[in-house]
Amino acid sequence: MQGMAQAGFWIAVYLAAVLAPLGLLLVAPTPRGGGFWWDVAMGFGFAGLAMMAVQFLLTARFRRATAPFGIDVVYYFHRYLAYVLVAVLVAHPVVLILINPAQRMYLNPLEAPWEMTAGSLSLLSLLALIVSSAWRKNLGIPYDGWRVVHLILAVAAMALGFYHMWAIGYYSGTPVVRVVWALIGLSVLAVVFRVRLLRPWSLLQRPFRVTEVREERGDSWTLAMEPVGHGGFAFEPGQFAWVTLGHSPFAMREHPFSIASSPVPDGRLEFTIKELGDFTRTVGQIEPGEPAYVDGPYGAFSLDRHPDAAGYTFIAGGIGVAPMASMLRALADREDPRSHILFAAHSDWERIPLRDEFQRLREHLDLEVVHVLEEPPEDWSGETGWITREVLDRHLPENRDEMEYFICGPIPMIQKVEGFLDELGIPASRVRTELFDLA
Amino acid sequence: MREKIAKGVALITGLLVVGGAFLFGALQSPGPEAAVAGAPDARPTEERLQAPDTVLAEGRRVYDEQNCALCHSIAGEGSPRSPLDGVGDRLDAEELRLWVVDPQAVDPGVRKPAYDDLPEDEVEVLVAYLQSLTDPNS
Repeated sequence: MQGMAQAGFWIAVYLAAVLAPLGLLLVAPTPRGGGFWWDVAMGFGFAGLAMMAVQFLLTARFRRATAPFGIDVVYYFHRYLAYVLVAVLVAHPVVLILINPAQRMYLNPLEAPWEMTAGSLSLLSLLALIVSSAWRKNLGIPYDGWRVVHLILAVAAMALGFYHMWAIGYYSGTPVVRVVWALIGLSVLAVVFRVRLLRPWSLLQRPFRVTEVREERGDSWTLAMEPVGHGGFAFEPGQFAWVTLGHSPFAMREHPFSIASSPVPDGRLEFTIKELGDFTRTVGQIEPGEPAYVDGPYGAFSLDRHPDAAGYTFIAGGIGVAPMASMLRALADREDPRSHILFAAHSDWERIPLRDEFQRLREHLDLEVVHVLEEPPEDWSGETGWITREVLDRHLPENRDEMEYFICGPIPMIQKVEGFLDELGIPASRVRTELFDLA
Repeated sequence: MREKIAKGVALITGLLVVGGAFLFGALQSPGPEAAVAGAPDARPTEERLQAPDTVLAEGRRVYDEQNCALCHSIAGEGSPRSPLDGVGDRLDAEELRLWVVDPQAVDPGVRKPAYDDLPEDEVEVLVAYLQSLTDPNS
């Protein structure tokens, strides 16, 4: 319940931040209106710019504000909100041109004053931002390069939009509106400063060193690392971190990975990573001794947040087993007496990352491991195909609605499994998910 | 589930923002009655004309060409932000001229572009047209 209250609080803070500039226009003295649709268009402009500012806060990895939701879903929210704000900001000039077609002249940089051209350029940056993000993979843009482009376009869209609003200075010309927008502008600058300079600098002060690079089944690698000159950080099993390897933390070359090890006092960490993209394909070439920078922990996907369950059910697709390994290892370390189940969906038997580790954990835990294979070997007697309602039903115990469920895998799989659990009568309040495609 | 909630909150944000923008539009607009009652009849009548028809028509053409209605209105047409009805009573020719070519000389803080590259004859007919915008009740 406390989590719900916290979530409600932060959603209220977020809505207040988005709606404050518009609310201010409603209550503060304003110059004479420009007609209903003209004023609606102005409302779109101010609200869209406020949403743009909030986008910077959403991805600033504020631990306290993201804790009730899990930062993974906050990144998804950042993505959805981007579509909404683009619609609102495109409507801003479209409505103005519809009510007075002569305003088209502001789209022509040769005729338009600077502040109007700044508005057009802001919108163009924003559209480029959306296209390069939503279709990044189709356009073949590498993740690392995309992150730099994303930052540049985001700062350009915000700065140009801010100048457009500030220089026109009609509704934004009154002292109270000027003060509020100056604060909003400074907040965005402070966030960029914190995220791009302060945090990398503090990561540089607390480096890690790769101690082992272990090949796993299914094109996966486990990287073990230890803190150098500090005690590492405390984390809850199941959480993740952004890891930088082979570059400075200022280089914006970090990648989010679930921690696969259990929390240990000396701060050592293990990440099990599958070769999926440009960066992950190079993980096997990393040499022990290389420095690493780890920004973490993040995420709400942990059994430590639900300690009173009758037992835990872990449902993983592909490399989604990594956070499950962390939680199961922690349970084994704690000599947990409860019964647990791991469902793991894979293509074939030989390519199941950490398969042997789960087998080993069964010696220390009351753990049932259900492998569901898409392409089973001929002598396979276990589950085949996908994780379905029937597969879950066959293995879940009688007290299934007292267990806590953790699902991690591709989004379509997560959605399907959530549906199956619902059909099996598992309350949604007992189901946790981790959405690991953050790019 | 969580990503659906995120989608929902984003959608609600959009609805609130659009609602807020419409509320702002409604509150800022004076309403149709006020527009009718408040707009003085500024149509230039023959008695009030201080310049020949052709000059006024030329002045109006310049007004339209320069898109003055983006920020100004006459008899409720154009942007209600800066109505020009009755401006001929409030300002003399020299003041009107200065407002067109160098508004910052009149009011240093005003946010209005200076039409200082407008040909002299166009400024003249425009000023004549603006002078014709008088309040019939005055």
